[in-house]
Amino acid sequence: MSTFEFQKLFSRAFKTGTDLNEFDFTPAGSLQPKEALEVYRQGYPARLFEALGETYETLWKVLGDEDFEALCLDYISLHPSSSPNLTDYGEDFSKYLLQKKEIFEESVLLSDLAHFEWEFKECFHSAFESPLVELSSAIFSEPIENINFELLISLRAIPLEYPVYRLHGIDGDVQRFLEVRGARSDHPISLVRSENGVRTVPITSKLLEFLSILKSGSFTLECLTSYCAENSELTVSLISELAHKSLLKKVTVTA
Amino acid sequence: MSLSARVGVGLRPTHYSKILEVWPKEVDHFEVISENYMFSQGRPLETLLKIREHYPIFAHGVSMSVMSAVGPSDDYLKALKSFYNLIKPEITSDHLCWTGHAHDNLHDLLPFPFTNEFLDLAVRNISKVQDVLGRSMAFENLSAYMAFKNSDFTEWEFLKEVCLRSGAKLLFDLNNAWVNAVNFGYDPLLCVNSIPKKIVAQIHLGGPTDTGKFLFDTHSTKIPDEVWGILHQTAARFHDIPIIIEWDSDIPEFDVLLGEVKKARSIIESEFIKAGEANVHF
Repeated sequence: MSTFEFQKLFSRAFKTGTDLNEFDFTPAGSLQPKEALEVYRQGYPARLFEALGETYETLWKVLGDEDFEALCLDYISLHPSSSPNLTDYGEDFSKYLLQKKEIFEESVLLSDLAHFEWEFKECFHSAFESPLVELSSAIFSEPIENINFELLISLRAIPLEYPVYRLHGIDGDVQRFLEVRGARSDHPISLVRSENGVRTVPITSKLLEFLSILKSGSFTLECLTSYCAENSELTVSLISELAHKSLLKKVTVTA
Repeated sequence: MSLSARVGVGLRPTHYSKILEVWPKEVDHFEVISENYMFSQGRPLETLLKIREHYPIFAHGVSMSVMSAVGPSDDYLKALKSFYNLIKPEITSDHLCWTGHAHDNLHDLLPFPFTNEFLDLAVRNISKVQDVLGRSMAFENLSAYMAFKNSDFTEWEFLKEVCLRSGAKLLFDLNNAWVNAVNFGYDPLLCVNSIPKKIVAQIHLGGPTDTGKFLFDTHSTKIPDEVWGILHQTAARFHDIPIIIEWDSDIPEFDVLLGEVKKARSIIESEFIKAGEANVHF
């Protein structure tokens, strides 16, 4: 058997728990051959569950042990891991939760919370940069095409229907949960790395829309020009909001 | 010959605040899990960079999959090289194992038969890895829960051959050597005494769990007496090989790890002195 064939067959046995006949081995200690394979098989969901638990800590508290574990194990069975980095696992958990409408009345809220926690984790692993402290008002007398601004690299903007960021890091506060559940509306937020962790900043829907276009790959100037058209008030408003909320790294004016 | 025992611990986030507060003098170096930092630019990496200013760092990986039939991923090696360039670790290592097949990462340190085919694969993949990374690597012997009957070599023969043919070093985990000896019923010193010092770059000590049916490498307990016994047996020979104490589950207070560090150092020192009195040459 070639090394490739060995690994292909072993992987299949690992996934199915059967098809051990291809291998002639001595199991460890007093284990039966199938039990020896189970030692490896059981480690896989356990590690992925641990990774999901670290990322979705608040969701775990909101759902409770039993429901969270059941959802995780189902998600793991549907989403094999492909990255060497366990922290990368679980990106689609938010989308997955949206499909659980029949089981969970609050599936949108749960999905929002998962989306928030995923982006929070991503932001936590981003580099810290000092934000622009003060924006000169002189900048607003410049034509749009002369204004260049740079966003903080860690910046993430996400649409939320529930203010789930208010649940983050709290433990078993039923009253807070009920308040959040009763506040369905538009709650766009941004996340940026702070020196000691992650800063959550509520933003306007207009700014969310603008940042979403930016994240899709548009160049800043092109985006600003097309988004604001000739509306200088909108330009001032967007840049001011970005600066006021400390989401900008720098702003420069080219002659 | 002078004594230069060097003992450190695996760096885990739960101990960050304690380490940054006291900068423990008992610890000679820290070992980090490469994957916990190499994909991040955030807080964990910032903390590591602070600790790096005070201690040598060893970078230990779990996902290289050097025994993969298709070889380690180029993207993974690229990210690892960047991480090494940033941290400048004193020793860089991973495990002599495979961790997945095709697109699936199984997130485990998987066993394989010690055959000539796998030996050739090891030498080929390690040569590529060392070329790409531009440095020598150390690879750790595994704890295994199945031993394949079609092996051409014993585990220790295989480890020795891999190192001698590839130029890589062995990260010799004495706990794993003991676990395998118990699980497959042989004397651990058969393995330990067969490993030449010249191939050993580093030593791991840790504590497994006795499930009643087999020993499970959990790194969740104090180092058992049997593993301390192996260190006693090998201390004089390996006295200048750096040691890392590993503890990954049910992680205790940092002071408990310091107790294990002191014990390891004390064993190395006492055995080294004894050997000197007996006029043993290394």
